Amino acid sequence: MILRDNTLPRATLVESKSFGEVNEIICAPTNPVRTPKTWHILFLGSLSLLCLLGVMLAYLVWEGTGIWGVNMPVAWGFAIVNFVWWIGIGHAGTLISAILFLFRQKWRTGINRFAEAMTIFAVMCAFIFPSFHVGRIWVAYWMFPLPNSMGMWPNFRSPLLWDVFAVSTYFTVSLLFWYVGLVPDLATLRDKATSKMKKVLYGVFALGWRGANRHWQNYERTYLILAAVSTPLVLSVHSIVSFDFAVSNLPGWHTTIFPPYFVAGAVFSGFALVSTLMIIARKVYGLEKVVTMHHLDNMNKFMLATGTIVAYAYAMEFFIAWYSGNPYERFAFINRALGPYGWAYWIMVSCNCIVPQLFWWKKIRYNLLITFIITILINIGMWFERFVIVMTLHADFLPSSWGYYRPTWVDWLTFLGTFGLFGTFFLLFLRFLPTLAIAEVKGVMPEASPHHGHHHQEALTSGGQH
Amino acid sequence: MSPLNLDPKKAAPTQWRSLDELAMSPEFQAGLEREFPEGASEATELDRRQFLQVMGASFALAGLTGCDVVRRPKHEILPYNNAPEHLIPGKPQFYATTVTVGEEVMGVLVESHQGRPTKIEGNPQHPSSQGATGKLQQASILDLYSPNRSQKVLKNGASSTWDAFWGGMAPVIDGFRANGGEGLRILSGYIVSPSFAAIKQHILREFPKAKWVVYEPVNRDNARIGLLGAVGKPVDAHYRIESAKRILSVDSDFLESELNHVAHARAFAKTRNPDLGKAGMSRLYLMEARYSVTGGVADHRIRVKPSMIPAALALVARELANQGLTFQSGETQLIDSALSASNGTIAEFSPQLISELAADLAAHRGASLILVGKHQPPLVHALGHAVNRLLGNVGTTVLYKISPTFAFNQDSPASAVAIRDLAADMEKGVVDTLLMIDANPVFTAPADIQFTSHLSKVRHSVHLGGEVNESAQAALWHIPQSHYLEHWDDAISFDGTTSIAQPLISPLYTTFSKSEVLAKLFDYRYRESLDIVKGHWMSRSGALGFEIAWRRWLHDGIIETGALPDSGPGSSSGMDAFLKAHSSSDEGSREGGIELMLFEHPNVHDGRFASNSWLQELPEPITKLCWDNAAYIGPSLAQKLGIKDQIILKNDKGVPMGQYDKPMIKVTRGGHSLSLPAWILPGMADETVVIHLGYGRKKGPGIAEGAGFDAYPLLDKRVGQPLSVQVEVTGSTYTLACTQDHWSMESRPIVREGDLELYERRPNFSADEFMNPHPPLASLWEEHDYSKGMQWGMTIDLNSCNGCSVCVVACQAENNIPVVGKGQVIRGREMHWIRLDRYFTGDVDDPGLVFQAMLCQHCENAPCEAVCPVSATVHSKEGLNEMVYNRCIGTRYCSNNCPYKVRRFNFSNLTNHYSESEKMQKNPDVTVRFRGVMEKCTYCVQRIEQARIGFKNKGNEVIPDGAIVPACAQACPTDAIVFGNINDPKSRVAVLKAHPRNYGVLTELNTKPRTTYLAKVRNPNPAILKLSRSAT
Amino acid sequence: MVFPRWTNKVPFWLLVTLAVLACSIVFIFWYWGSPKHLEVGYQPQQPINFSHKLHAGQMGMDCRYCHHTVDKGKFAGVPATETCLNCHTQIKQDAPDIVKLREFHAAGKPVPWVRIHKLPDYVYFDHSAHVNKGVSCISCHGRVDQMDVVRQVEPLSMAWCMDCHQAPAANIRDKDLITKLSWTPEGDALENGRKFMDMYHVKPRTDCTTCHR
Repeated sequence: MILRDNTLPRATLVESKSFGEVNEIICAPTNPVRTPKTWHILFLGSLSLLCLLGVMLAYLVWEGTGIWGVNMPVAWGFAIVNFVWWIGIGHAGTLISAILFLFRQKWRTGINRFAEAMTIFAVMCAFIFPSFHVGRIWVAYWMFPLPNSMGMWPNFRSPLLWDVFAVSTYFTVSLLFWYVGLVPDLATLRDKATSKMKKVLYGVFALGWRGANRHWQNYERTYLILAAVSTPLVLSVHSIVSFDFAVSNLPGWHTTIFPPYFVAGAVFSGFALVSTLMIIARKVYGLEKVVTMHHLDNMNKFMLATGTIVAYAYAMEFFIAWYSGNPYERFAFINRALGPYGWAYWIMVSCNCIVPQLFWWKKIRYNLLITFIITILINIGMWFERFVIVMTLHADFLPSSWGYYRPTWVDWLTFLGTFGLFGTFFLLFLRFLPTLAIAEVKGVMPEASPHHGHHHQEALTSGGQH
Repeated sequence: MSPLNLDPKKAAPTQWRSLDELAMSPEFQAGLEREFPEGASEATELDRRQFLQVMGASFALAGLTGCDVVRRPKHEILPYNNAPEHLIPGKPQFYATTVTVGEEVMGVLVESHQGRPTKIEGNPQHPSSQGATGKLQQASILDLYSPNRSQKVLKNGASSTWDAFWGGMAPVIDGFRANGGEGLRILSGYIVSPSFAAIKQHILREFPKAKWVVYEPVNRDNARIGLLGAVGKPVDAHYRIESAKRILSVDSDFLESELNHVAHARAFAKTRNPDLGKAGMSRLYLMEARYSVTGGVADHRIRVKPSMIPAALALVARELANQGLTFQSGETQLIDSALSASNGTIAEFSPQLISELAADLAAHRGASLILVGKHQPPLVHALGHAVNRLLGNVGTTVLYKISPTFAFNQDSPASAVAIRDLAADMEKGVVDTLLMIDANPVFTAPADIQFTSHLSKVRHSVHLGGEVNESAQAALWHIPQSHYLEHWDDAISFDGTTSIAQPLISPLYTTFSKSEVLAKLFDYRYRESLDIVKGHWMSRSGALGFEIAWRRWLHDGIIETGALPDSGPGSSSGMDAFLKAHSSSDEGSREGGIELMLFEHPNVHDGRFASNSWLQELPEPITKLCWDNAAYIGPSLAQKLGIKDQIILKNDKGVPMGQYDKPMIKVTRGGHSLSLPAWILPGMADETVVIHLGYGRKKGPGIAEGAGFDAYPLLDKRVGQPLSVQVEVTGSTYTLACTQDHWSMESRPIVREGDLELYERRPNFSADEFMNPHPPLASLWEEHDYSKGMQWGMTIDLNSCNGCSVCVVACQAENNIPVVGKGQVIRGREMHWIRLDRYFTGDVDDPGLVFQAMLCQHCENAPCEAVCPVSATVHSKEGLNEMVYNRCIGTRYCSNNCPYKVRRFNFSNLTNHYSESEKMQKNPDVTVRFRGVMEKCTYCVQRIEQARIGFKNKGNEVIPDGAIVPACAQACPTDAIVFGNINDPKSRVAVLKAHPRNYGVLTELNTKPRTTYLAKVRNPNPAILKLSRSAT
Repeated sequence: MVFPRWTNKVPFWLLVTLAVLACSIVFIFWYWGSPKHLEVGYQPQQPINFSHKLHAGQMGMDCRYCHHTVDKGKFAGVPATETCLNCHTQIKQDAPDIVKLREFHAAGKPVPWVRIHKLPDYVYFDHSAHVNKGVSCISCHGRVDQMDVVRQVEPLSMAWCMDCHQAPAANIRDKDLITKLSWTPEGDALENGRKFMDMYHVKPRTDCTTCHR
């Protein structure tokens, strides 16, 4: 690999002796014999939740949005809250794979595959909500600029339309990125595969990878380009999602701070979920040797940073509301904190601003259990952030129009169902694909260093590892 | 031509599908039978008029199958065999007819689409309508198509036939011929129909021993008796409110629930124009215990405990005496007895207030007016008229005219007495046969007379009515009655205007009118309602030229019988006798403790409209409650009872909402008690409970059943009479549906209000003093150019509007707005396009009240338009904010971005369960919306387009001002809503928009609303204001 | 060797086919799914074989003799059965279709004509608004005077309506000629159209509420 890392002692990144062992560790899950019982239990659970989602959506299409809690004035309820939340989760993936890659952060290798996979599945979950929350889903395709006998085009001024394009672009690029990264490892799996069927399946997706020098060169170049392409996406997607609110004229929504604050929040929640899953996975699959405490430590630092940014954003919102002198704006924010949804606001603040501050202490950063709990709390907090924002609808300009939103059981079960979707895909990924980027992990091992062991010259001429 | 030709069942209709179903389809009849109301949540078979559904389906089909296979289902066009003349398919026709609700007679015009009456509109030529309507009249059309209508004869509750009924009754009637009607009782409502009265006379002539009982649970008997005492003649008081400068209303809700309220509201609104100045603008003092809409517009509203209201007036009278008015002996006795009745505890009135009030009245002799509420005891009425006479108002603001309907009803005593006598006779067993003609005494009779149990002693009890109600089920026979749009009738309104009521459609079911039933039973000389009415008038006006006159009457809707003669001030000579009869202290005596006052409900009246889903879902004007009634109590009483209602306690801080579970209280009166939810209503008199009657129908048909709580069991005296009760909190709760949780304006410049002083000092106060500070307004998008062509706009005068809500019902009828039902209202999904906002101002114990009709503002920079991803809501070149249902995919983003929150969303399919009969009411010019689309006020664009096409076809490119009237503006009694072309400087709306009082709501958002408001200006008495200031 | 050499090309061609497939699906829906293909040519069997060719064409009856509300109201109006019998009580009484007609009339049953030109319920089209501005029947219904059995000749789709509402000149003619289906303008049709557009103040509106309410 052309990757070079002068910042870290390799040992802390990979606590493993040989390339072979790394192969073993990472490919282990794909070996049916060694699939732990927990996997089967979890998969069964997620699958049933996925079915639940199917039922709920069918019910929705049959009966209409009346089965949800949405009303006037709160015309957007759980659907949009969940949408923004899932999209946010998706962010960590691209950030880790793209930005950290460009910044040559070696430690990303431990988690990037994971995060990218998560991104894709999270975006799939997110996609469900905006598309199903519309009143007449069978004509939702009018949102796309297709030729038609009505001679009608969509309204390009609408942020919702921007959303459609932003999210679908994001999904496509993330998918490509993930897949390209997978190619060499698919080849590894192909080569290790025993049954004919596996050989063929992995083979098809490995695109005939042989690990030749030219392959590596193209691979590196493609990967670099994709990283460059998706870097702006990390910032753009959630900015555009935030436009859904910021472009409106609602007090509490109509704020310029939204784009950066949404992006920060997205990364925040993304990292939280990555480590939540990572902590579980490395336990279940015994990946401790390749996903070390060092990785988790770094991620915790990230959460600390982004969490603080989010906290700053919350404070700034309040300041601006007061500073603007706009009575509606002022009321909206006071109402957030003290109104009927005040409880949600305070859950948000405590989970997103206060809890992450614990990461200032190294002890806590290195304590698996506490980290695990904190990451869960952060995800709850970030969900409530979106809830608080959407609930701003319930009391805007004219007091006569003020209302109150209560989710129905369908709202809850649909939300729950999306975890089924996410879980199912994620478990399948764990089961059939390498959970870590084998090649890259090897790349950061001491053995990969040209200076390792033998004579300088040989090592250099030997090129990348095969 | 007679519209009977247009009976859709006989003549096969042309063109459009609902009608060919109507004529041919078997499910039509089935549909008519079907029993569930609009607003019920269950969905049934797919409604074929749900175009969007069809469209969705056809889109799905479009790609899947080959070319010619994808044909829409085969449609047939069914032409007439013999086309009726002057009928242009798709062009509505209007017929004049008459609606009667109790004593209220109103001439109306009915819009008919090829034989289907679809909408009630006021008849400009009729004095009690003058082009406007009340909400009861407006909603009455729904009853015609209601699936709850009684459709067949019942005997002991089992279905029977008309022949069985005629056959069964024949021997009974013959028996009466023998004994002269011994034991025959006929119970009807107050009679206003001359032809019906003629039948009554016929019966009483043929059966001299029979008795006719006139019973209206909600009546004006007290007013009549009081007048008889004060004037000595059977007269009605005709109030000329337009010429009254100072009005003192003693518990008189003359803008909503008193007789002739529509005309009164119009007249009163005229006097509220602040441009008339100090000399010209009227001032309204009002004393009441409840909070009425009239109380909302009052300049000074004085809260008085129910039993103290007579004393309050007496105090004013005495003060006037001190200020030099000389009462006659009888009248001073009135004052004394009124004061004594209140046990002399009159301390709670500030003497200065009373003296200032009296001084103001005295200063306007001949231009002042005392109005006494119909529920007040006769003494108070007599006193009120005495004061009017002494103030020289008789002849100027009050005229006494012989009641034209007195003769029809005179042989029956006052309702309260009549029903007791009847019950007594029934108990004695002397009543053999009781005909209940379009009445529901089983439900409405005072509890203590046990009408129901005595009814079982009656051998033949017959109930004639439009629905199978409590009386119908208690009676031996129930026979279905025709709707007033199905038969001929006539009526005299209290001012003597006589009008013919012509049918718009022949009976949907085999039903008869009350005239027809009695005519057949008692062998009147005519049988068909047409002959009965025509015959009556022919005999009165003579056959010569009758046909021409008759046609003119039908066309105009009124028979000009000339105004009634003024019978002069009369004499109070009979006063002493009157005093003897009525000073018995039970009349309004102070019963002490917590007092209960029972009133008819403004929407469902005495219960007769309880099964009308429009009126059920129409929010009660003051509380904004629908689908229920409740016990209204003031904040002080609430705290006494230990009821902590978040809403009222926290209203100005925080936003306590979504709390619909209200504490139940138990109201006990004598042996009877009623548990119902308490609703804390600011401005109620202390220690007072007000409950509306008409709810809690036990065996009411359809939706009526189970809605609200029946307060009749507590009624052991007259309606509206103070009853002392015990009240306790039961501890349980009940969920109420309220369309507006929030009470205060949060000191936002939404409804802008000032007093006359301010207005004369600064005419622009609404714009100057209320505007929020805001940055310079600039639009992100390129703005449309509205300088050319016709540009539609609307103004709403907050000074005229009294919150009566008729506009809401009119809009619902015109625009096919669905009813959602209680559950959905609680969820916050009511569909009314007009949200009649109600805000309380000032102190929570004694607040002011303002109303504001909030509908789509048709912003020139509409926030909703920019955010719709599919351009389903866009702007027309004429400044309309257009909502295109068939383009809407239902993202609901537009509603989020609407600062006024006036958009409504079809969360569920609210229109696919309509029975065939309900479909017949729908306006064919307005799309019936399917689930999943947004909707909102369109300025009645269908009316705009019809007018445009009409004028263009004639070659005129411009539509004259006033040619387009939206449904709300048309129904508004006070003319508060004005619509027109703002580009034409001479149009009414343009003139009003140039008026200094004109302002837009939330204009600081640069929305540039096309709907603007004229600020509210009250005319309080400066002297009294000084008092209150010094007090605090 | 699991995979033969040619498989190297597969991914590329896979991508190409996918792209082409996507485009063609859109095209198929847009082209063959449009009213132009689904509606035009609809020619149902009518309960009575009434020939417009005979009545309007050869005998030259004016359209408005039967469709007499076309310039007064929304609907052109299908004639009442009695209208047919005005003549057919004398003429061709024993022709089978006339007998059928009389039976309908005698039985007081309407003739169940099958509807051909059908707009969705949410479209509020008004005949009078068009006819009074010099739009001929032919613009939407074609040469009905040459049809034995009437069929739909125009798609009546929204785009089709909009075309004319944006550039009406070609469809505007002298009011007296609207029912003269055989008439063709001498000289420039558009020129002629513009002349009458000015005369009748033809300013077609394209606001949504013009048709959707």
